[in-house]
Amino acid sequence: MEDEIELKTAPADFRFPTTNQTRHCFTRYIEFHRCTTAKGEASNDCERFAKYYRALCPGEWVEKWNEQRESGTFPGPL
Amino acid sequence: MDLSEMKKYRTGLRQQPRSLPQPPLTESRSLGTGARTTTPNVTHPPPTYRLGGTSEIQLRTRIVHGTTIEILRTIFPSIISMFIAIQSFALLYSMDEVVVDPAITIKAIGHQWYQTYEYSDYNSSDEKSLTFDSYMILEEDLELGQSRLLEVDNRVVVPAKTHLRIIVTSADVPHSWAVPSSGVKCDVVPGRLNQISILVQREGVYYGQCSEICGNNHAFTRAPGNIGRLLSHSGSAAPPGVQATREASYYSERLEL
Repeated sequence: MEDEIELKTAPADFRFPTTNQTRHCFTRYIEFHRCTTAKGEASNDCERFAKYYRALCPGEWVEKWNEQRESGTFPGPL
Repeated sequence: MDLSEMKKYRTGLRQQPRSLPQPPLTESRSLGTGARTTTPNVTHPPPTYRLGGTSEIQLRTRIVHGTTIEILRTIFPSIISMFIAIQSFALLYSMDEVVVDPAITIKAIGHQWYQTYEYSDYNSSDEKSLTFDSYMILEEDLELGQSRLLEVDNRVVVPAKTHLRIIVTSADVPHSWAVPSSGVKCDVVPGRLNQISILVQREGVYYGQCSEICGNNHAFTRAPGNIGRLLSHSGSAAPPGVQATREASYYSERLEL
């Protein structure tokens, strides 16, 4: 029986049509954290935002932002 | 024949002011030496040079200004250029737009002087990520049949015939991620994520080199050695797509002659 291989990643966002995807990554990260703030940490609705930002953003950036959030110095509208 | 008659046969340009009468050639002015002097002609229109006469060759020219035609010949090419530019810019910007949703995202992070690749589409948390470094194989470490200055220790494995999104960035200085055989070159800037869309048509190995001067070993930084692999699920022992990527990322092929 063949397994259906399904590849999924962050879809192309019409808000960010150009080559520069920096804001796309940043926006997805903020969307995830605003979603968890609004709906709670355990909510599954926010998981897709998490997949998107993990797909787009380098791991180093995510680590840095997580540290900034914990120290309260994150420069974004969470 | 006296001097005045001889001077009539003189060839060449002969300046004749329009309004002032031609002074006799032999007239001397205040110098009293017999030399001919001319009055500075600053208040009169430019002299004309006439071509004609029986015994003297005189040249006539007139300096004219065609304002209308000059305006037309400036504006008309500008309009043509504008028509060409509008089409050209529309094509240029539409080339960058992603029309099809990609199936997989691969991040390439440039360092001095190696690449780091991340496959994090299937991460369940921020920590876990399939990440590996890709260094160029030095000449002394090459195996028989491998290409000099092109081979890397860990190749990037990508599925063929699949829309890929490659996100490139840098951890230190600007680099450039280029794979000529895939028609790809993208500058890599620290602090910025640049997106490239690729569709690898055929299976095979695609080599690339860093294309932006990035220091001492810029010539030895490899962009990929990509392997296009079909994610095939038709074979019975074929693993699911994620696992194929996971194990193939550490695959280094031994070339057999």
